[in-house]
Amino acid sequence: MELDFININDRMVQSTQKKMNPLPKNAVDKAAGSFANYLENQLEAVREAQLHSKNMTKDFMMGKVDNLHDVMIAGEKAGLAMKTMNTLRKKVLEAYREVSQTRL
Amino acid sequence: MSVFQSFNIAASGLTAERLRMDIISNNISNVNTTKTNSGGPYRRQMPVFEAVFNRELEAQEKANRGESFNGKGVRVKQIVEDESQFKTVYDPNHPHADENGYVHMPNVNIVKEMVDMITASRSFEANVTALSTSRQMFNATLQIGQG
Repeated sequence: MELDFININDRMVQSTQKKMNPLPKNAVDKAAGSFANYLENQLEAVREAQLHSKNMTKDFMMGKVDNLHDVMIAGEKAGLAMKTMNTLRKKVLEAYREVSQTRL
Repeated sequence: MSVFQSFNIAASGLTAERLRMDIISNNISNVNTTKTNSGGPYRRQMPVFEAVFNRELEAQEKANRGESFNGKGVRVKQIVEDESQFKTVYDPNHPHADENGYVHMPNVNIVKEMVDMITASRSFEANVTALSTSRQMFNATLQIGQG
């Protein structure tokens, strides 16, 4: 009975492993890298949006931009990008704290 | 960024409505203009709107498969002139009066322009509302998992 059970378990594990895509060797490293990259790209996007908004405001003041709503929307986009970034940061930090406070 | 697509679409609507408002203002201000560069009185102008789509092949294919939306808002395709008849007013002392003393006045109807103006203003507001609602949705999305 005992042996059988183990066998069944093994077989189940094997079958699920077959079903799942085999993980690449340095999957964890890659995943960590991709998240860092993602965060970095996001940061860059936020910075770009803020710069764009700033330039739009400057151009509007100098009379180069005709549409006030484009300036407002640029500011809105920058604000939302910043907020998204902040929310993500909060989430990551939360997860980190959760792990760091684990009692061994 | 496609997350801001609704923003861009609403912005295109705002731009178009602003241009319409400019044209209406021009019509109203020229309600008494009896001579223009092309000769003859001022002709009422009106904008022709056109829907804009993302014409890139990839976007088109995606839209055809129903995976994404390739609408990009609206734009003013062209500004056309109203070909309706000019009003004639009897005013022999006017410098632009013809030999019978009649002056051709622009075919601008001030009441129609006022109604168009209200329409433009309300359409602008509708686009602003669409924009704020998109922002609210975005903010609501960021609140997922909070609290």
